[in-house]
Amino acid sequence: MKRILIYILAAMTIGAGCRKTVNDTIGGQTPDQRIAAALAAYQKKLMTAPYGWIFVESTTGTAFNQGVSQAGPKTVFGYFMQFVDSNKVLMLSDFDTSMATTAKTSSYRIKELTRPALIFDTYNYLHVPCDPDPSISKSPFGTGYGWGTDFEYSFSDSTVPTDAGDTIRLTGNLNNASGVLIKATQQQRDAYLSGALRGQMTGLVSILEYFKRLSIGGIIYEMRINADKTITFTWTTAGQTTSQTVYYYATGTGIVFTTPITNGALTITGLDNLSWDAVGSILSVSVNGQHGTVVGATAPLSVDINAPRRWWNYANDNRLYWASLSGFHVNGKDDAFGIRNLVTDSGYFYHLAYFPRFFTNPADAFIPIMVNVDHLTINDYFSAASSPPTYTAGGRIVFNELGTVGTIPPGGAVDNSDAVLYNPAGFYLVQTGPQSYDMVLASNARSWISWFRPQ
Amino acid sequence: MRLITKIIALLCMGTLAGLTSCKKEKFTPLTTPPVGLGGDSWQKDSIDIFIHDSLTVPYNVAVYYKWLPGQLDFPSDITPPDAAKVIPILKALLNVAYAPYNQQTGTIEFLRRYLPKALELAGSAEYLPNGARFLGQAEGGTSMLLYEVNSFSRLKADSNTFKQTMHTMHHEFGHILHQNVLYPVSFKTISTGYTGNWYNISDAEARQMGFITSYAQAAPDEDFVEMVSSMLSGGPNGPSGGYDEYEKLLAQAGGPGSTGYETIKTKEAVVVDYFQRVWNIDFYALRSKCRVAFVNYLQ
Repeated sequence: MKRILIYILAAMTIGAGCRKTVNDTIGGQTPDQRIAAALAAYQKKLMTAPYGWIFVESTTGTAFNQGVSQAGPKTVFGYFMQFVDSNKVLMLSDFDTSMATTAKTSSYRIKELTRPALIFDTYNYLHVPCDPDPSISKSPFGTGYGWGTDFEYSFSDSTVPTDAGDTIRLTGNLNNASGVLIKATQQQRDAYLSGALRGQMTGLVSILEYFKRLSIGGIIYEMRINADKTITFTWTTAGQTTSQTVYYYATGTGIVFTTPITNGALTITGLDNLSWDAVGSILSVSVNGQHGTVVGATAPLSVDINAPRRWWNYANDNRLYWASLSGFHVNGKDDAFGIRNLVTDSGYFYHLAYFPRFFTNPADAFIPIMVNVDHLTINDYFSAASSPPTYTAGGRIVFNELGTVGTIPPGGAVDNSDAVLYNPAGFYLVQTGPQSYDMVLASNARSWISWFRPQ
Repeated sequence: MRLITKIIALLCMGTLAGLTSCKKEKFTPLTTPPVGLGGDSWQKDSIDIFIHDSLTVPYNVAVYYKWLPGQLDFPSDITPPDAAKVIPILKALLNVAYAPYNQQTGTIEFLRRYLPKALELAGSAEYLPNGARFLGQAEGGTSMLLYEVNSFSRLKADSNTFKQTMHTMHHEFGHILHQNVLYPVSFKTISTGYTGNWYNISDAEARQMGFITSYAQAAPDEDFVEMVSSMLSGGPNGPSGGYDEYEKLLAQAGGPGSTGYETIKTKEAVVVDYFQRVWNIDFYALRSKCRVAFVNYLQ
């Protein structure tokens, strides 16, 4: 009997504590009220930045389409944006020089999805890298995929807009690209609108030599500008050589690195106020307020003596060839000889090959690989080189022409490429990745070819 | 234990439950509408005014050109249109695709009744894993989606692309019509060999097999509307290498007497009969008007 009463008492005590109340408010505000307030706060923040915003977008290296993901290179893009009114935005982009110069207006809106969202709802420069047509986006991910960039974002600061200072963080809804809007200064806004972005972009590639040396604060850094929106810096301090590769984007006032270069106490976050002196071939820059210069060089700071052997042996040992998609870059021009447009009796150009021991007697072949209807085939004319090539004590590789197969049309892409390959000055090999090398003409470093291992 | 104790215990619990159960909150009406109720709004500009005056009022059609998350196939890499292309493509639709129907039926009531009420515009195409890409979609008579708005041009030099847009429009509207009243079932058995592998067959090969385009070989519904659109605005990969008028496509099918040619002609007769019987439209007269409208619109 007692036990029953105790159970009843216990039940009554517990029951008394179980009073249901409905309260989904925070600070007295319902979810709807808080959402409406957030949307209004973001709208106001975007529109009231007096000099607009710099938008930096970084991809994850994955692009989505039809629910399928595709892997590829990461990249970074830099934009100038001015949110002109509640639905119009003006943009400039570092995607190419025309988008850097001509401002384009489109529309945007802020909307609640599962999170407050910023949607760029008509086409502008921001959408170009998203375009599934690779002829527009220049995306290497394949047809149907962009670069893994976005135009529909969720606001992703973990605090309210007013507390987030002069920045707004965004995360793309399709591809999870991360973006940050940074309030622009008057100087930056004026630079963008006067067309200065183009000059900063072209300044970076004004130096025709492959090897570029930045001299700042008494230290020399070798700079290599890569095709994937990165720059590789190499420098030697107290006998130790360090290399660091950073992503960059261009603004109206310079080049900004997404991660800084750190050399001991010195931090380099970018190169400001690039200015190209065409007469003296000097690029003036400013780093942390200090004046510096970038000039071309005809040799690397530190020659990778064994690279030529590694390059040739890798292909020879694995019975492979090294492939190049666009042949020689000469004097600032990619595919200087137009080899990508080569059409012969063998078919259409696919890629250019350097094939160690192509002939068993032995000889190497420098040979275009062509597409013929539905298969790959060798071109019916090409040159053969000594096997192996000559390696110099200074770390260069020199190719000697043994002869030709077929008749090489004079002045054509193959003829012109051969002329560079067999230049007696030879080449430096720069290893750019586990299965890729750049081969740079040693006489003036203004011609080079990029090799990769074909799959 | 004794029965009375059990009853008392139960009564106590019952009272307890009665005392502490959820008090229903009094209903408080909202003073501000939920966020997003009524759809998105924005400052109306010349594009919105044009849509209202030229499509919404006369045809009861709403045009969605601003990106709306979840409206198109999801999650896919599709971009919204360039605002500068929206009015041009709508004007082209009105003058080249819609006007002939109005002229032929003598009224805007036919289109007003049968045009799908939602027209969605996408800037890019939608790409499928098999390498094919969508140029248009029609859903259940309620909406139509036109892709590749960003490629639109009315210049003579780009007339191939323009023809493709009109072909897509007639193709999708054809779906709307047969989704309202189906074509004769006998059409479905004129040909055999419909296949999901259609994108690996060339248009020229398909014509020799009796299909007006390779896409027609995908399914009888597609076959029907590809006949409609190819007759009204030509078909792809004709003898010229681009869009050619229907008669030239027939030449690729083989001459009169060949299987391809005769099969297509049989289908042509079903289409013409369908338009006359169901919609009271002289299809050949409609075709002439479409061709004239197209040629007059090129710059």
